[in-house]
Amino acid sequence: MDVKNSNEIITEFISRCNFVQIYSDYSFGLFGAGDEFLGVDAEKSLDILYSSAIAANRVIGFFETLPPFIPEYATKGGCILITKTLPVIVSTPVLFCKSLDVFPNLLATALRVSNEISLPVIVVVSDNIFNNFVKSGNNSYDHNRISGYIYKQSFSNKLTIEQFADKMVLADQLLNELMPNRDNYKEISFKEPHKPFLNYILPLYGNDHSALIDIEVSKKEYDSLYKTLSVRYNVKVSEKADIDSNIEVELKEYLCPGCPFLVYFTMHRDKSILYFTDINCEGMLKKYEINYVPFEYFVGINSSQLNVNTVFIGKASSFNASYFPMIRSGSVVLLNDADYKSVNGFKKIKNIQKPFVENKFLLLPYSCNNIKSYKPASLKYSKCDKCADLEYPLCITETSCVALSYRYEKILVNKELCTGCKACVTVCRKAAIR
Amino acid sequence: MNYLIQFAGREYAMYDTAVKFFIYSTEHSDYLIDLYANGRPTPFSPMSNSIYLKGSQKNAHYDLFVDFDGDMVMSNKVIHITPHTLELPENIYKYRYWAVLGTLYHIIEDISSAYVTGYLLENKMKQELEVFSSYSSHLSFALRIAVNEIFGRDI
Repeated sequence: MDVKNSNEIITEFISRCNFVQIYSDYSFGLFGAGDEFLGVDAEKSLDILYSSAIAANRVIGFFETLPPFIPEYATKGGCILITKTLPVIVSTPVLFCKSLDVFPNLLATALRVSNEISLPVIVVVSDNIFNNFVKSGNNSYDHNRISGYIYKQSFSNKLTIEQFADKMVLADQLLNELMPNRDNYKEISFKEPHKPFLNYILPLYGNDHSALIDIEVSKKEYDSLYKTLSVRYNVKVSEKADIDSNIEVELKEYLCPGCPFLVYFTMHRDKSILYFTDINCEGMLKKYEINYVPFEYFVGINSSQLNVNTVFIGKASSFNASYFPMIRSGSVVLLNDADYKSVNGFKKIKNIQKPFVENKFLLLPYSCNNIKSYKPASLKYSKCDKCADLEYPLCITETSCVALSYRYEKILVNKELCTGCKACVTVCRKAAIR
Repeated sequence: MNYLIQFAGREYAMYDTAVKFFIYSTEHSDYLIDLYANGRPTPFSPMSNSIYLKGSQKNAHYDLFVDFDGDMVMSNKVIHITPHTLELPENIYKYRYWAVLGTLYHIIEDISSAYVTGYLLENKMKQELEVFSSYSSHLSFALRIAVNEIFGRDI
């Protein structure tokens, strides 16, 4: 069959173009091509990729949200940064892609532009790109393989304004030839498939201060598009009302089996506490209504006694011991994303299956990228009343665990998926799960 | 006839196979197709795609919901193809992807199921072929009522 899925297209592109360094946020895990650098957050991973590209390596990164980024040195190996979120700062050419049909060619263009202008190129993709299918054709990719090299001056010669402007002129020429923007857009949309969108946008450079062109977007998309596009466009809200489908479909949401947030919250959730995290998982953030902020924000928030209790649940790799004296209130739960033996000042929990006492500073044994497996849960059917007084059993609704299912009037545990985190054991009122 | 079909499923390999077969079959039946993907909030969220089949110039379309693992929640009266609405017996639940796919081929009458049956025969997947053939030749009671009501004709 000549139908390919997104994963096959990305994998083919990466293997044919000989990328040396590949980074992928955990959320891309199943469909992305690379792997998360263990214990290294997105911001630091971006630095690693960028410096690797300066040393003439070909690199690619998949970021849920691309950290703010201003390139100061020329790259030599080709650097593509793919993200699902529109960048707030446009500091390098940004290409947009809404359709999987054109994605392979767009990636090839991004690589070519990055090679020609010696700067990273950002590719912003819509939801349509990942988890989709396309009738495949033959794509020609740049197979060149180059070995890494640096000069003494590689890190001493920062790009000048003039050099940057020259690169942008070149990028504009190339992009205008390969995937030109239309002369006049009326209403654009990044989410709705049938409305047009820009093919690329460049940062402002040199004497390029052309008058802002009017562009209309729907009210729904205004907030997300404004910051990225207002560099070059006069972004207005469209007068037309948004059309909504009359059939509303909701998909059940599932957390990862053994999700550390699930385990923590089934034991310790307190609605009077404000929770914060630096882990960007859309499903978890929605289920538990947690504020997504960097660790440093939490340190700032808690630099004095507050009117409410606060808890930060975040990556151990984001924690810095010098923050300790600055945290005057609130608690910190670190998820051990880098397999540290210990973190000074934190009480280490060895076994997440056993109830643990709340502590101001806790270190849980794993994070999202390195979930540990224990003995899977088993269900004693003679004890299980399937929560007869409720529409669905509590173990299903409370945990949103993908390893549990309810069909033919039975609760079933998928032993291949179950990590034995025992969150379902905690919520079961009849002690039917062990 | 135009159709907007929404797919959802959690078993990645089976979902991938089923949707690819469907795309391949519809393209060979001269439908123009648009493919859309929906976001996944977590790596274990169900895969979800929308496929628009354009077979006529009319602007209207029928909505079909193909829900391999019973993960769609909806309030409106719709054609919802899921193991539950197929009244799938427990002993063949593991072949549900083939049953649901078979039903879809039955509802969209002018696409050929030959590619699927050929594949199942070639790979000696007897049970799967039996389930697929059975569900591509009849509709469950609940689905027949829904289809008749929405399509305004008997299938």
